[in-house]
Amino acid sequence: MKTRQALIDELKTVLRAADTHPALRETFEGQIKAGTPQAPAGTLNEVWGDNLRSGGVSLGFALMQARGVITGRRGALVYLCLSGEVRETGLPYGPGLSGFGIDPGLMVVGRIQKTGDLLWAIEEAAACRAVAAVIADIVRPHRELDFTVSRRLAMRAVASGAAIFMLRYGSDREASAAHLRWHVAPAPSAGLAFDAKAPGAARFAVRLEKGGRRFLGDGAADRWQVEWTHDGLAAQKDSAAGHRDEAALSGIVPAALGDRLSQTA
Amino acid sequence: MRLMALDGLAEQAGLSEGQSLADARAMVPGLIAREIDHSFLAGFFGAFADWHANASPIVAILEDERAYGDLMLDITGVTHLFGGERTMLDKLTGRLEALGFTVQGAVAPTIGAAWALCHYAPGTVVGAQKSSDRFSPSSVALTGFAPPIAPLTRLAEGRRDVPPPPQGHPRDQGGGRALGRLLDLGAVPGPVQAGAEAGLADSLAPLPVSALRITALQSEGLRQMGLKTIGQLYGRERGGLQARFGVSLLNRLDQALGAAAERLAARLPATDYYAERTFAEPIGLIDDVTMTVKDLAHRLAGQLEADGLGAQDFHLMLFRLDHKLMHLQVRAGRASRDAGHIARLFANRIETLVADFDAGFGIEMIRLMATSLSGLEAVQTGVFALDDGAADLDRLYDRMASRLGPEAILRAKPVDSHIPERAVAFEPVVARTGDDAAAGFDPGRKRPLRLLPAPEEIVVVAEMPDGPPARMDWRRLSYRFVRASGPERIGVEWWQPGEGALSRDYYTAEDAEGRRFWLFREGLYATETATPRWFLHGVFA
Repeated sequence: MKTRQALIDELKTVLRAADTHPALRETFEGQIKAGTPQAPAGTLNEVWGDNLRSGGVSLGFALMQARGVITGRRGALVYLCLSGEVRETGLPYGPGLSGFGIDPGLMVVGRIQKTGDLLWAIEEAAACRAVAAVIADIVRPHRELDFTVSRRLAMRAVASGAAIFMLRYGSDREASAAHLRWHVAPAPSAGLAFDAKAPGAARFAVRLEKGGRRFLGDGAADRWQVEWTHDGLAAQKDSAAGHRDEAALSGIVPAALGDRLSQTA
Repeated sequence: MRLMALDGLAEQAGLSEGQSLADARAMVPGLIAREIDHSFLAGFFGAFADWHANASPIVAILEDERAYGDLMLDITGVTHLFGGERTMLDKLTGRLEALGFTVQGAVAPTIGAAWALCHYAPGTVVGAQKSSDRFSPSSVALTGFAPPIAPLTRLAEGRRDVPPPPQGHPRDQGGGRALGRLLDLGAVPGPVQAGAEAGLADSLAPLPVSALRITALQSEGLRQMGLKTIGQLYGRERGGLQARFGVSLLNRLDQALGAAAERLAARLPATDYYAERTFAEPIGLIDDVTMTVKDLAHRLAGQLEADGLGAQDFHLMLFRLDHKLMHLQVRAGRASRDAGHIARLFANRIETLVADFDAGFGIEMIRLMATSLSGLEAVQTGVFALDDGAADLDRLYDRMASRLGPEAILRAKPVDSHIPERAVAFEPVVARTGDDAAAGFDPGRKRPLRLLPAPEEIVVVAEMPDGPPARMDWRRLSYRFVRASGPERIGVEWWQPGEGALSRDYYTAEDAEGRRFWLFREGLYATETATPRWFLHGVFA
């Protein structure tokens, strides 16, 4: 029988290993330096927007990140929400997803009645080795979603290697133990090349509020202006009227295609 | 309003079933009448019928407009377990009587005959000339040689402290609580054995024609013609009967005599693959149930494996001491016989029940059944085969559906439609159907990332009545658009219901902060409507 102290020590070791997570740091550094933030697999991410009005942007950002962690073996996405909150947010729309570069066939939508069941579902889905990312859309604050619970989810993400994204809105939400906390806001688009009055490619103003220092050290960039193009996520170009209005490619993020880029420049 | 059921006192006072309430009130001023709670009775009766699954796998309720139905059991091949038909009938009715119900029952080779005898000659057992132990259940099914026997049980709820009702007239003795006759049961039809047929016709002959389950109008007509008993119909010219009373009379007659087939719609699924355990002492703890399920799942998996089968639907039946049956069902996305998986699905299912779980006085028997069977051969995994994790995913969906309900875990299925809300149908992942080849999502179309459950009406200001929107008010906030593109006109699908709808002009609009919305104007200006309304339908990233 272990003593109480021995148990606590053992737990601390586990927690430390999960927190430092050296492999995580390596991948994360490389992706951030490329100018487009990409959350690594095996992390708990909190993605929050100022209000529900910008809910499309939060989902868009989470999907972009989720798309980056899809691999051949881990191909599925799980979107979970509370059925009582669907009226306000709306569900992910299949045709919109395919235009966004996500194959709707990969995604499963869960409409769940109770918060407790939602947490169970997040954990269960993250533990499945075929699930690349779990996106949990939680509109209102819930008492059950406390710090302990998010700590548990963070550990689960590290253990399983799936990325978990919690979409939250407003500033009265609970504290969370997410590895990374992203603030995402919409940014005005540049318009289309041949129709300046039409909305162009989606742009996001992204701020990494938490986790940047731990994983990248002081002084690393934590703000990005990014744009979603048909080739995937790109650093925002200053030149107005940039891109063709094309659907993003589906599946794993492709290598940048030189010939396409030259046509758009 | 009419009287549906009477107690003994009311009967003594000269009231009768079918009498109008006003008449009855006039005859007996102090009459206590209660309105029938059909849903309560149906539920109560249904639970009762399900519980009889411990006597026979096929139990059905025959609807009856006068009473609340009859309970019908197909006892083909099971009578030897009870020591013969007569003993079985006695046991079934006896145990109900012990509970304070007034019951009448009968055994006959056909559903119609069983019904007739139960209602008009309760206690009769017909067609049991062969000793039943010569027929094993399987030989019955295969050869069609066995006499199908139906005990018909007719129940009335009463109180134990009330003296038994007059013979042959079971009635509610509940002192004015006119619950009346509760149930009718149906039996499985089957080919009637030649030897039994004569006995069947003889025993039906003296019964009144109304025993044939015909309408009151038909039986009244027959009586006027002097045809009062079923026996008088034998050998009549069929053409004449059909011309006067319709084909339904002949149908009922044939069904009763076994010349026409009739089927029972079993309330519970029947299968060859099941495992069950009867407890010496009733159990009540939910953990004990979970443990038992685990054990039963192993036995069931063994049976399935021996025959190279897998199943998609699993049923768990908990038989309670107080004659209620709890029926839980889980569905697996792909055929499975993995005992651990099955047990886990039920564990999830039971966990969600905890609040509602009520073992009553205890559970006396648990049965686990497998249906929707399909071949499932053992698979040899190759060393170099790439595991795509599809099996893991299916298991995940099963687990989630078992705990959250199948309607909670959905996939988007493309539908061949231009109307945005119709272009996607959500269907349970565990019950997915193939995709429609004509349908598919076109990534070239500009579609929002989130679609609102229903378009929300908004107030829009546009520079021109048929121009793009300039501002909108949505959920009490105002948005000014700096960019807008459109319209994309989506017409009405006139071949679908709801063809009166108006065309929609969809616009994508972006406000000063960069939020993008998908909104539409309903109705073409000037041609379809003079005052088009605006709706917000979705948001982009």
